[in-house]
Amino acid sequence: MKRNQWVVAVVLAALALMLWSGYANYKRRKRIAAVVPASMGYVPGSGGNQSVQQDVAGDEGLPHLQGRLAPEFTLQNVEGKKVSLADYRGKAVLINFWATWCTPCKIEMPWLIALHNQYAHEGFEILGVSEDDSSVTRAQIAKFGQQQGINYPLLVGTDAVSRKYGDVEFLPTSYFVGRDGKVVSESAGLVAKDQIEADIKKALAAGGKKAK
Amino acid sequence: MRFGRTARMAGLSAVAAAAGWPVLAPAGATAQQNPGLLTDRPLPLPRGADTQQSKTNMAVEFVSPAEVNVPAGRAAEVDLEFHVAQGLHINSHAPRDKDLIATRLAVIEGGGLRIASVDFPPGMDYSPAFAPGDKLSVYTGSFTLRVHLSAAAGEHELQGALHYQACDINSCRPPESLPVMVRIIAK
Repeated sequence: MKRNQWVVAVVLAALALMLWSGYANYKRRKRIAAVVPASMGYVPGSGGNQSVQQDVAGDEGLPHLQGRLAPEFTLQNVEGKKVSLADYRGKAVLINFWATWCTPCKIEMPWLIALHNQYAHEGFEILGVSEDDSSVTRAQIAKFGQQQGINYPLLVGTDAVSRKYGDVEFLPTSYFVGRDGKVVSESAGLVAKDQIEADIKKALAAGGKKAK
Repeated sequence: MRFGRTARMAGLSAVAAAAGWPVLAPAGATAQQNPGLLTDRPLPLPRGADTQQSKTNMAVEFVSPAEVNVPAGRAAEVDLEFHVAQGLHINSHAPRDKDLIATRLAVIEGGGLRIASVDFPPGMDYSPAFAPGDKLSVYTGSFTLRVHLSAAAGEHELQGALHYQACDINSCRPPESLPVMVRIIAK
């Protein structure tokens, strides 16, 4: 009897800890989302965005692909399988360049996960292209993705692909590609979740037939 | 330019020799625990490094000294002063997150110049606007590394590279390697 009471107490304590942890994590994400204003980040063509990044970096780092076909690429995913951008033609795609050492990238990952969940059924996909150097293995990238709870494909970037996308001077950098394969928006640096969602909607609405 | 794999460079020649350079104080060690331990771990070498990279684009500038006098054959200290560009910060030598890239110094030894260790200053606490609850350990503005060395009588060149990774308030830049060169006159 005494032993049973101990077991029940331990289980209850573990449950309480899990609930508290989940709530604390939720509160933290809400707080971050509230702190990052829509004006943060450099979003060419959107106007009105002012940030320290602009002061420091100007508009370098973005090749201004907006309105043009997204440069084609084939990369390995973290399982070693080849993935091409062309595989997603007909879908709206967010190409998100990131790295394991990039703190702002980690901040937006929970947002990307949530947005992926929200819009995947409409034909939306995210391709997370790791910009880590060769000292970070595929397995390490995969493990990092698992730790972050990432639910979209993670690809191992290359110099050649980075060059096609303007050398990717800042992380995170995102390209929003419409169903027709054309870039509808691009951003360098952390931007607000609302801004990301608006760009996803823009990509979903842009050209071509729906593919789910 | 690929992050990390093609680190930004200002003058490739000095850093291209980095494959065999010792790294002073490995990532993960704190300045207090391990003030400038000499190891054989090389800096990650840039692949296809951009030899045309303008120094003015780099996040950190090597300020001084260009030349220093030390007593020959005896332990000496040389302070290397760096400056982080306004609006940017770099991770300290002992970042709190294991995924972050620590600031390190790699040097070439030999020719009568021996490097014993390097002291890195403690980082400043920094909470990004996007994560006010997080505390990063960073360097901003000016910071100084103290190199403990000994030199045989004569003139030597202390050649090395500061390896770091910079961010501003909402984005991060690729890792960079800043060449460092100091003329050491030992009398």
